[in-house]
Amino acid sequence: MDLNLPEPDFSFFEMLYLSFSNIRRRFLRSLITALGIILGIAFMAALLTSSLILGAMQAESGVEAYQFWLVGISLVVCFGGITNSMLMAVNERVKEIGVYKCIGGLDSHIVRLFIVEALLLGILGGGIGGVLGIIFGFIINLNRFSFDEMSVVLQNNSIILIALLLLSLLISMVLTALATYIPARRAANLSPAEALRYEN
Amino acid sequence: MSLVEHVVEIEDVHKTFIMGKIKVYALQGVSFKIKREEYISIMGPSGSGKSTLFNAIGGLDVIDSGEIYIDQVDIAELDATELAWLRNRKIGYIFQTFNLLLAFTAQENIEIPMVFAGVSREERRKRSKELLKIVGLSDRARNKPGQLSGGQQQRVAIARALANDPAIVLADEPTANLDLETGLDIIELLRNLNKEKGTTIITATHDLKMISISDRIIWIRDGLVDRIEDRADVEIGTVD
Ligand SMILES: Nc1ncnc2c1ncn2[C@@H]1O[C@H](COP(=O)(O)OP(=O)(O)OP(=O)(O)O)[C@@H](O)[C@H]1O
Ligand SMILES: [Mg+2]
Repeated sequence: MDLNLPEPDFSFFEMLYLSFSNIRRRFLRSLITALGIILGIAFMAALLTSSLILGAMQAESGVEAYQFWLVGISLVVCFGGITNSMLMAVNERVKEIGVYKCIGGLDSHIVRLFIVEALLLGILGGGIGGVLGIIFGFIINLNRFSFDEMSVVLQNNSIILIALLLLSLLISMVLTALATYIPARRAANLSPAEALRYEN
Repeated sequence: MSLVEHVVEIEDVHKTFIMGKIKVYALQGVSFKIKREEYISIMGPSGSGKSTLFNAIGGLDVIDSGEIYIDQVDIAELDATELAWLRNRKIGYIFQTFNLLLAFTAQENIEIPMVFAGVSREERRKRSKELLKIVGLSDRARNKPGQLSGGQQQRVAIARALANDPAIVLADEPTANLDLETGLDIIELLRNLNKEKGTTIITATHDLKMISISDRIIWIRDGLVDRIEDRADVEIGTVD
Protein backbone atom coordinates (compact mmCIF):
# COMPACT_ATOMS: atom_id res chain seq x y z
CA MET A 1 0.00 0.00 0.00
CA ASP A 2 1.52 3.29 -0.97
CA LEU A 3 1.31 5.29 2.18
CA ASN A 4 2.72 8.47 0.74
CA LEU A 5 0.46 10.52 2.89
CA PRO A 6 -0.59 13.56 0.94
CA GLU A 7 -1.37 16.06 3.65
CA PRO A 8 -5.04 15.52 4.48
CA ASP A 9 -4.92 18.99 5.94
CA PHE A 10 -7.74 21.16 4.77
CA SER A 11 -7.82 24.89 4.84
CA PHE A 12 -9.22 27.09 7.55
CA PHE A 13 -11.68 28.35 4.99
CA GLU A 14 -13.10 24.86 4.41
CA MET A 15 -13.35 24.43 8.14
CA LEU A 16 -15.23 27.68 8.52
CA TYR A 17 -17.51 26.69 5.67
CA LEU A 18 -18.36 23.29 7.17
CA SER A 19 -18.90 24.79 10.63
CA PHE A 20 -21.03 27.55 9.27
CA SER A 21 -23.13 25.08 7.27
CA ASN A 22 -23.62 23.01 10.38
CA ILE A 23 -24.84 25.99 12.37
CA ARG A 24 -27.11 27.17 9.60
CA ARG A 25 -28.59 23.79 8.96
CA ARG A 26 -29.15 22.94 12.57
CA PHE A 27 -30.40 26.45 12.99
CA LEU A 28 -33.01 25.84 15.66
CA ARG A 29 -30.70 23.67 17.73
CA SER A 30 -27.87 26.18 17.34
CA LEU A 31 -30.25 28.95 18.34
CA ILE A 32 -31.11 27.14 21.55
CA THR A 33 -27.44 26.58 22.31
CA ALA A 34 -26.71 30.24 21.54
CA LEU A 35 -29.63 31.23 23.76
CA GLY A 36 -28.06 29.32 26.64
CA ILE A 37 -24.84 31.26 26.13
CA ILE A 38 -26.65 34.57 25.75
CA LEU A 39 -28.61 34.04 28.96
CA GLY A 40 -25.53 33.11 30.97
CA ILE A 41 -23.48 36.04 29.71
CA ALA A 42 -26.38 38.51 29.91
CA PHE A 43 -27.06 37.53 33.51
CA MET A 44 -23.45 38.15 34.44
CA ALA A 45 -23.16 41.39 32.46
CA ALA A 46 -26.43 42.71 33.92
CA LEU A 47 -25.30 42.16 37.50
CA LEU A 48 -21.88 43.64 36.85
CA THR A 49 -23.45 46.70 35.21
CA SER A 50 -25.92 47.02 38.04
CA SER A 51 -23.21 46.90 40.66
CA LEU A 52 -21.21 49.43 38.68
CA ILE A 53 -24.18 51.80 38.81
CA LEU A 54 -24.89 51.09 42.46
CA GLY A 55 -21.24 51.52 43.33
CA ALA A 56 -21.10 54.92 41.65
CA MET A 57 -24.38 56.11 43.13
CA GLN A 58 -23.66 55.03 46.65
CA ALA A 59 -20.04 56.09 46.62
CA GLU A 60 -20.23 57.04 50.24
CA SER A 61 -21.56 53.70 51.48
CA GLY A 62 -19.39 51.68 49.13
CA VAL A 63 -20.31 48.46 47.39
CA GLU A 64 -22.30 46.25 49.62
CA ALA A 65 -21.28 42.69 50.33
CA TYR A 66 -24.38 41.15 48.80
CA GLN A 67 -23.41 42.61 45.44
CA PHE A 68 -20.22 40.60 45.44
CA TRP A 69 -22.31 37.57 46.17
CA LEU A 70 -24.58 38.35 43.28
CA VAL A 71 -21.69 38.74 40.89
CA GLY A 72 -20.24 35.48 42.16
CA ILE A 73 -23.52 33.70 41.60
CA SER A 74 -23.89 35.23 38.17
CA LEU A 75 -20.50 33.88 37.20
CA VAL A 76 -21.44 30.41 38.40
CA VAL A 77 -24.73 30.54 36.49
CA CYS A 78 -22.94 31.76 33.41
CA PHE A 79 -20.27 29.03 33.59
CA GLY A 80 -22.84 26.37 34.31
CA GLY A 81 -25.22 27.50 31.59
CA ILE A 82 -22.63 27.67 28.85
CA THR A 83 -20.87 24.46 29.82
CA ASN A 84 -24.15 22.62 29.98
CA SER A 85 -25.31 23.92 26.61
CA MET A 86 -22.09 22.96 24.89
CA LEU A 87 -21.75 19.55 26.55
CA MET A 88 -25.25 18.67 25.46
CA ALA A 89 -24.65 19.94 21.96
CA VAL A 90 -21.59 17.70 21.53
CA ASN A 91 -23.13 14.71 23.27
CA GLU A 92 -25.95 14.71 20.75
CA ARG A 93 -23.43 14.47 17.97
CA VAL A 94 -21.10 11.62 18.93
CA LYS A 95 -22.58 9.51 16.14
CA GLU A 96 -21.84 12.28 13.71
CA ILE A 97 -18.24 12.25 14.92
CA GLY A 98 -18.23 8.52 14.15
CA VAL A 99 -19.39 9.25 10.61
CA TYR A 100 -16.64 11.83 10.13
CA LYS A 101 -14.11 9.26 11.30
CA CYS A 102 -15.43 6.62 8.92
CA ILE A 103 -14.97 8.88 5.93
CA GLY A 104 -11.41 9.69 6.86
CA GLY A 105 -11.54 12.68 9.16
CA LEU A 106 -8.55 12.99 11.46
CA ASP A 107 -9.37 13.36 15.13
CA SER A 108 -7.75 16.77 15.11
CA HIS A 109 -9.83 17.85 12.11
CA ILE A 110 -13.03 16.73 13.74
CA VAL A 111 -12.23 18.41 17.03
CA ARG A 112 -11.26 21.60 15.23
CA LEU A 113 -14.48 21.49 13.25
CA PHE A 114 -16.48 21.40 16.46
CA ILE A 115 -14.38 24.10 18.10
CA VAL A 116 -14.70 26.50 15.20
CA GLU A 117 -18.44 25.94 15.35
CA ALA A 118 -18.47 26.51 19.12
CA LEU A 119 -16.40 29.67 18.76
CA LEU A 120 -18.78 31.08 16.17
CA LEU A 121 -21.64 30.50 18.61
CA GLY A 122 -19.50 31.78 21.48
CA ILE A 123 -18.73 35.08 19.73
CA LEU A 124 -22.34 35.53 18.74
CA GLY A 125 -23.68 34.59 22.19
CA GLY A 126 -21.05 36.54 24.10
CA GLY A 127 -21.56 39.70 22.03
CA ILE A 128 -25.34 39.67 22.14
CA GLY A 129 -25.38 38.54 25.77
CA GLY A 130 -22.96 41.30 26.81
CA VAL A 131 -24.96 44.05 25.14
CA LEU A 132 -28.29 42.74 26.43
CA GLY A 133 -26.83 42.36 29.89
CA ILE A 134 -25.63 45.95 30.05
CA ILE A 135 -29.01 47.23 28.85
CA PHE A 136 -30.77 45.04 31.34
CA GLY A 137 -28.48 46.09 34.19
CA PHE A 138 -29.47 49.66 33.38
CA ILE A 139 -33.19 48.90 33.26
CA ILE A 140 -33.40 47.08 36.57
CA ASN A 141 -32.13 50.20 38.35
CA LEU A 142 -34.61 52.57 36.74
CA ASN A 143 -36.93 52.41 39.73
CA ARG A 144 -34.16 53.58 42.01
CA PHE A 145 -32.34 56.21 40.00
CA SER A 146 -33.32 58.49 37.15
CA PHE A 147 -32.44 57.69 33.58
CA ASP A 148 -30.24 60.78 33.31
CA GLU A 149 -28.33 60.06 36.50
CA MET A 150 -27.44 56.59 35.32
CA SER A 151 -26.56 57.77 31.82
CA VAL A 152 -23.95 60.04 33.34
CA VAL A 153 -22.52 57.16 35.35
CA LEU A 154 -22.28 54.96 32.29
CA GLN A 155 -20.72 57.73 30.22
CA ASN A 156 -18.11 58.30 32.90
CA ASN A 157 -17.37 54.60 32.96
CA SER A 158 -17.49 53.88 29.27
CA ILE A 159 -14.08 52.22 29.38
CA ILE A 160 -15.29 49.84 32.03
CA LEU A 161 -18.33 49.03 29.92
CA ILE A 162 -16.17 48.25 26.92
CA ALA A 163 -13.99 46.09 29.14
CA LEU A 164 -17.16 44.36 30.33
CA LEU A 165 -18.15 43.63 26.75
CA LEU A 166 -14.73 42.26 25.96
CA LEU A 167 -14.83 40.20 29.14
CA SER A 168 -18.22 38.80 28.06
CA LEU A 169 -16.77 37.83 24.70
CA LEU A 170 -13.68 36.33 26.26
CA ILE A 171 -15.52 34.28 28.88
CA SER A 172 -18.01 33.10 26.30
CA MET A 173 -15.34 32.05 23.82
CA VAL A 174 -13.12 30.34 26.36
CA LEU A 175 -16.00 28.47 27.94
CA THR A 176 -17.63 27.37 24.70
CA ALA A 177 -14.31 26.23 23.28
CA LEU A 178 -13.34 24.36 26.44
CA ALA A 179 -16.75 22.81 26.99
CA THR A 180 -16.63 21.60 23.41
CA TYR A 181 -13.02 20.53 23.29
CA ILE A 182 -13.23 18.10 26.20
CA PRO A 183 -16.23 16.02 25.07
CA ALA A 184 -15.32 16.28 21.37
CA ARG A 185 -11.80 15.07 22.07
CA ARG A 186 -13.18 12.20 24.09
CA ALA A 187 -15.65 11.25 21.36
CA ALA A 188 -13.00 11.51 18.65
CA ASN A 189 -10.79 9.16 20.64
CA LEU A 190 -13.40 6.43 20.37
CA SER A 191 -12.99 3.99 17.54
CA PRO A 192 -15.37 4.85 14.68
CA ALA A 193 -17.48 1.78 15.46
CA GLU A 194 -17.84 2.79 19.10
CA ALA A 195 -18.76 6.34 18.16
CA LEU A 196 -21.39 5.10 15.70
CA ARG A 197 -22.87 2.83 18.37
CA TYR A 198 -23.05 5.62 20.89
CA GLU A 199 -26.51 6.23 22.29
CA ASN A 200 -27.33 9.38 24.15
CA MET B 1 5.47 -12.32 -2.74
CA SER B 2 2.60 -14.62 -3.52
CA LEU B 3 1.37 -14.94 -7.06
CA VAL B 4 -2.21 -14.22 -6.16
CA GLU B 5 -2.60 -10.76 -4.86
CA HIS B 6 -4.68 -10.67 -1.73
CA VAL B 7 -6.20 -7.32 -1.03
CA VAL B 8 -7.53 -8.43 2.35
CA GLU B 9 -5.99 -11.08 4.54
CA ILE B 10 -7.20 -11.80 8.01
CA GLU B 11 -5.67 -14.30 10.36
CA ASP B 12 -7.04 -15.72 13.56
CA VAL B 13 -9.01 -12.62 14.50
CA HIS B 14 -10.58 -12.58 17.94
CA LYS B 15 -12.91 -10.01 19.39
CA THR B 16 -14.69 -10.31 22.71
CA PHE B 17 -17.16 -7.82 24.08
CA ILE B 18 -17.20 -7.54 27.83
CA MET B 19 -20.31 -6.17 29.43
CA GLY B 20 -19.94 -6.34 33.17
CA LYS B 21 -19.63 -10.02 33.96
CA ILE B 22 -20.87 -11.22 30.62
CA LYS B 23 -18.42 -11.94 27.84
CA VAL B 24 -19.61 -12.18 24.27
CA TYR B 25 -17.17 -14.00 22.04
CA ALA B 26 -18.10 -12.26 18.81
CA LEU B 27 -15.11 -13.45 16.76
CA GLN B 28 -13.28 -16.58 17.84
CA GLY B 29 -10.45 -16.98 15.38
CA VAL B 30 -11.56 -15.96 11.91
CA SER B 31 -9.17 -16.35 8.98
CA PHE B 32 -9.58 -15.89 5.22
CA LYS B 33 -8.09 -14.17 2.23
CA ILE B 34 -9.76 -12.05 -0.39
CA LYS B 35 -8.35 -11.53 -3.85
CA ARG B 36 -8.36 -8.26 -5.71
CA GLU B 37 -11.55 -7.64 -7.68
CA GLU B 38 -13.50 -10.32 -5.86
CA TYR B 39 -17.11 -9.89 -4.84
CA ILE B 40 -17.48 -11.50 -1.44
CA SER B 41 -20.61 -12.00 0.61
CA ILE B 42 -20.31 -12.72 4.29
CA MET B 43 -23.40 -14.54 5.41
CA GLY B 44 -24.61 -15.98 8.65
CA PRO B 45 -27.37 -15.83 11.19
CA SER B 46 -28.07 -12.76 13.26
CA GLY B 47 -25.49 -12.37 16.00
CA SER B 48 -22.94 -14.57 14.25
CA GLY B 49 -20.39 -11.76 14.13
CA LYS B 50 -20.77 -10.25 10.66
CA SER B 51 -20.86 -6.62 11.74
CA THR B 52 -18.01 -7.20 14.16
CA LEU B 53 -16.01 -8.65 11.30
CA PHE B 54 -16.98 -5.73 9.05
CA ASN B 55 -15.69 -3.27 11.67
CA ALA B 56 -12.51 -5.28 12.10
CA ILE B 57 -11.67 -5.49 8.38
CA GLY B 58 -12.42 -1.82 7.89
CA GLY B 59 -10.27 -0.71 10.79
CA LEU B 60 -13.34 0.78 12.44
CA ASP B 61 -12.83 -1.07 15.70
CA VAL B 62 -9.87 -2.55 17.52
CA ILE B 63 -9.55 -6.32 17.72
CA ASP B 64 -8.24 -8.32 20.65
CA SER B 65 -5.84 -10.53 18.74
CA GLY B 66 -5.05 -11.72 15.24
CA GLU B 67 -3.89 -9.85 12.17
CA ILE B 68 -5.59 -7.89 9.46
CA TYR B 69 -3.68 -7.03 6.31
CA ILE B 70 -5.00 -4.59 3.77
CA ASP B 71 -2.76 -4.68 0.68
CA GLN B 72 -0.13 -6.54 2.70
CA VAL B 73 -0.07 -3.85 5.36
CA ASP B 74 -0.85 -4.89 8.91
CA ILE B 75 -3.37 -2.28 9.98
CA ALA B 76 -2.41 -2.70 13.63
CA GLU B 77 0.87 -1.04 12.69
CA LEU B 78 -0.79 2.08 11.36
CA ASP B 79 -0.93 5.24 13.44
CA ALA B 80 -4.04 7.40 13.69
CA THR B 81 -3.20 9.48 10.64
CA GLU B 82 -2.48 6.45 8.49
CA LEU B 83 -5.69 4.80 9.64
CA ALA B 84 -7.65 7.91 8.72
CA TRP B 85 -5.94 7.84 5.33
CA LEU B 86 -6.93 4.18 4.91
CA ARG B 87 -10.55 4.97 5.72
CA ASN B 88 -10.46 7.99 3.50
CA ARG B 89 -8.88 6.58 0.33
CA LYS B 90 -8.49 2.86 0.48
CA ILE B 91 -11.84 1.69 1.81
CA GLY B 92 -15.35 2.93 1.18
CA TYR B 93 -17.98 2.04 3.78
CA ILE B 94 -21.67 1.45 3.31
CA PHE B 95 -23.91 0.89 6.32
CA GLN B 96 -27.29 -0.60 6.89
CA THR B 97 -28.45 2.68 8.40
CA PHE B 98 -26.76 4.84 5.74
CA ASN B 99 -24.99 7.10 8.26
CA LEU B 100 -25.17 10.22 6.16
CA LEU B 101 -24.49 13.63 7.66
CA LEU B 102 -27.98 15.05 8.07
CA ALA B 103 -26.95 18.69 8.00
CA PHE B 104 -25.56 18.44 4.50
CA THR B 105 -27.04 17.95 1.05
CA ALA B 106 -26.52 14.78 -0.97
CA GLN B 107 -23.78 16.46 -2.96
CA GLU B 108 -22.03 17.82 0.12
CA ASN B 109 -22.15 14.40 1.78
CA ILE B 110 -20.30 13.03 -1.21
CA GLU B 111 -17.82 15.89 -1.15
CA ILE B 112 -16.81 15.71 2.50
CA PRO B 113 -14.49 12.69 2.12
CA MET B 114 -12.86 14.67 -0.69
CA VAL B 115 -12.53 17.68 1.60
CA PHE B 116 -10.61 15.47 4.03
CA ALA B 117 -8.51 14.24 1.12
CA GLY B 118 -7.58 17.79 0.18
CA VAL B 119 -9.27 17.72 -3.23
CA SER B 120 -9.86 21.15 -4.73
CA ARG B 121 -13.30 22.68 -4.76
CA GLU B 122 -13.73 22.51 -8.54
CA GLU B 123 -12.56 18.93 -8.67
CA ARG B 124 -14.98 18.01 -5.85
CA ARG B 125 -17.90 19.62 -7.64
CA LYS B 126 -17.08 17.78 -10.82
CA ARG B 127 -16.54 14.41 -9.21
CA SER B 128 -19.57 14.55 -6.93
CA LYS B 129 -21.75 15.35 -9.93
CA GLU B 130 -20.33 12.36 -11.79
CA LEU B 131 -20.97 10.11 -8.81
CA LEU B 132 -24.52 11.37 -8.40
CA LYS B 133 -25.07 10.54 -12.03
CA ILE B 134 -23.66 7.04 -11.60
CA VAL B 135 -26.07 6.34 -8.73
CA GLY B 136 -28.93 7.95 -10.64
CA LEU B 137 -29.53 10.92 -8.36
CA SER B 138 -28.47 13.88 -10.46
CA ASP B 139 -31.76 15.63 -9.77
CA ARG B 140 -31.39 15.22 -6.01
CA ALA B 141 -28.01 16.87 -5.50
CA ARG B 142 -29.40 19.64 -3.33
CA ASN B 143 -31.66 17.53 -1.16
CA LYS B 144 -30.70 16.65 2.38
CA PRO B 145 -30.92 13.04 3.56
CA GLY B 146 -34.20 13.76 5.37
CA GLN B 147 -35.79 14.60 2.04
CA LEU B 148 -34.71 11.36 0.38
CA SER B 149 -36.16 7.86 0.49
CA GLY B 150 -34.20 5.03 2.09
CA GLY B 151 -33.07 3.74 -1.28
CA GLN B 152 -31.98 7.19 -2.38
CA GLN B 153 -30.08 7.72 0.86
CA GLN B 154 -28.30 4.43 0.34
CA ARG B 155 -27.33 5.55 -3.17
CA VAL B 156 -25.88 8.75 -1.73
CA ALA B 157 -23.99 6.61 0.77
CA ILE B 158 -22.63 4.48 -2.07
CA ALA B 159 -21.57 7.57 -3.98
CA ARG B 160 -19.87 8.86 -0.83
CA ALA B 161 -18.10 5.54 -0.38
CA LEU B 162 -16.74 5.92 -3.92
CA ALA B 163 -15.68 9.55 -3.50
CA ASN B 164 -11.95 8.90 -3.30
CA ASP B 165 -12.00 5.91 -5.61
CA PRO B 166 -11.33 3.20 -3.01
CA ALA B 167 -9.87 -0.19 -3.85
CA ILE B 168 -12.25 -1.89 -1.45
CA VAL B 169 -15.90 -1.26 -0.70
CA LEU B 170 -17.17 -2.69 2.56
CA ALA B 171 -20.91 -2.89 3.00
CA ASP B 172 -22.73 -4.04 6.13
CA GLU B 173 -26.23 -5.18 5.15
CA PRO B 174 -26.63 -2.46 2.54
CA THR B 175 -30.06 -3.74 1.51
CA ALA B 176 -31.51 -4.66 4.90
CA ASN B 177 -33.51 -1.46 5.32
CA LEU B 178 -34.80 -1.43 1.76
CA ASP B 179 -37.67 -3.08 -0.04
CA LEU B 180 -37.05 -5.90 -2.51
CA GLU B 181 -37.01 -3.73 -5.63
CA THR B 182 -34.77 -1.04 -4.17
CA GLY B 183 -32.50 -3.70 -2.73
CA LEU B 184 -32.07 -5.17 -6.20
CA ASP B 185 -31.12 -1.75 -7.57
CA ILE B 186 -28.46 -1.38 -4.90
CA ILE B 187 -27.09 -4.86 -5.58
CA GLU B 188 -27.00 -4.05 -9.30
CA LEU B 189 -25.05 -0.89 -8.53
CA LEU B 190 -22.50 -2.78 -6.46
CA ARG B 191 -22.17 -5.46 -9.09
CA ASN B 192 -21.51 -2.92 -11.84
CA LEU B 193 -18.93 -1.23 -9.69
CA ASN B 194 -17.21 -4.55 -9.23
CA LYS B 195 -17.37 -5.51 -12.91
CA GLU B 196 -16.55 -2.15 -14.45
CA LYS B 197 -14.01 -0.70 -12.08
CA GLY B 198 -12.73 -3.89 -10.51
CA THR B 199 -13.45 -2.64 -7.01
CA THR B 200 -13.21 -5.38 -4.43
CA ILE B 201 -16.56 -5.66 -2.70
CA ILE B 202 -17.19 -7.25 0.65
CA THR B 203 -20.74 -7.26 1.95
CA ALA B 204 -22.08 -8.66 5.16
CA THR B 205 -25.62 -9.65 4.39
CA HIS B 206 -28.68 -11.72 5.09
CA ASP B 207 -29.87 -11.05 1.59
CA LEU B 208 -29.90 -14.25 -0.48
CA LYS B 209 -30.19 -12.13 -3.63
CA MET B 210 -26.53 -11.32 -3.10
CA ILE B 211 -25.52 -14.93 -3.59
CA SER B 212 -26.01 -15.05 -7.35
CA ILE B 213 -23.59 -12.19 -7.93
CA SER B 214 -20.95 -13.08 -5.36
CA ASP B 215 -17.73 -14.78 -6.41
CA ARG B 216 -17.50 -16.44 -3.04
CA ILE B 217 -19.64 -16.68 0.04
CA ILE B 218 -18.09 -16.83 3.47
CA TRP B 219 -20.50 -18.39 5.93
CA ILE B 220 -20.03 -17.29 9.52
CA ARG B 221 -21.45 -19.04 12.52
CA ASP B 222 -20.83 -18.23 16.18
CA GLY B 223 -17.82 -16.09 15.41
CA LEU B 224 -16.12 -18.69 13.24
CA VAL B 225 -15.90 -19.34 9.52
CA ASP B 226 -18.35 -22.15 8.94
CA ARG B 227 -17.47 -22.71 5.27
CA ILE B 228 -16.42 -20.81 2.19
CA GLU B 229 -18.22 -21.51 -1.05
CA ASP B 230 -17.60 -20.56 -4.66
CA ARG B 231 -20.61 -19.31 -6.51
CA ALA B 232 -20.56 -22.30 -8.82
CA ASP B 233 -21.14 -24.65 -5.91
CA VAL B 234 -23.96 -22.63 -4.51
CA GLU B 235 -25.88 -22.15 -7.69
CA ILE B 236 -26.30 -25.84 -8.20
CA GLY B 237 -27.31 -26.74 -4.69
CA THR B 238 -29.92 -25.05 -2.60
CA VAL B 239 -29.11 -22.58 0.10
CA ASP B 240 -29.63 -23.23 3.78
N1 LIG C 1 -20.84 -3.29 21.25
C1 LIG C 1 -21.18 -4.52 21.63
N2 LIG C 1 -21.22 -4.82 22.93
C2 LIG C 1 -21.52 -6.06 23.34
N3 LIG C 1 -21.81 -7.06 22.53
C3 LIG C 1 -21.78 -6.84 21.22
C4 LIG C 1 -21.46 -5.55 20.69
N4 LIG C 1 -21.51 -5.61 19.34
C5 LIG C 1 -21.85 -6.89 19.05
N5 LIG C 1 -22.00 -7.62 20.17
C6 LIG C 1 -22.35 -9.06 20.23
O1 LIG C 1 -21.46 -9.75 19.40
C7 LIG C 1 -22.14 -10.76 18.68
C8 LIG C 1 -21.95 -10.52 17.20
O2 LIG C 1 -22.63 -9.34 16.84
P1 LIG C 1 -22.67 -8.78 15.36
O3 LIG C 1 -23.31 -7.46 15.43
O4 LIG C 1 -21.32 -8.85 14.80
O5 LIG C 1 -23.62 -9.84 14.66
P2 LIG C 1 -24.19 -9.81 13.16
O6 LIG C 1 -23.79 -11.10 12.55
O7 LIG C 1 -23.81 -8.58 12.48
O8 LIG C 1 -25.74 -9.84 13.42
P3 LIG C 1 -26.90 -9.17 12.53
O9 LIG C 1 -27.07 -10.06 11.35
O10 LIG C 1 -28.08 -9.20 13.43
O11 LIG C 1 -26.47 -7.80 12.17
C9 LIG C 1 -23.59 -10.69 19.12
O12 LIG C 1 -23.80 -11.69 20.09
C10 LIG C 1 -23.74 -9.32 19.70
O13 LIG C 1 -24.67 -9.32 20.72
MG1 LIG D 1 -24.84 -6.90 11.76
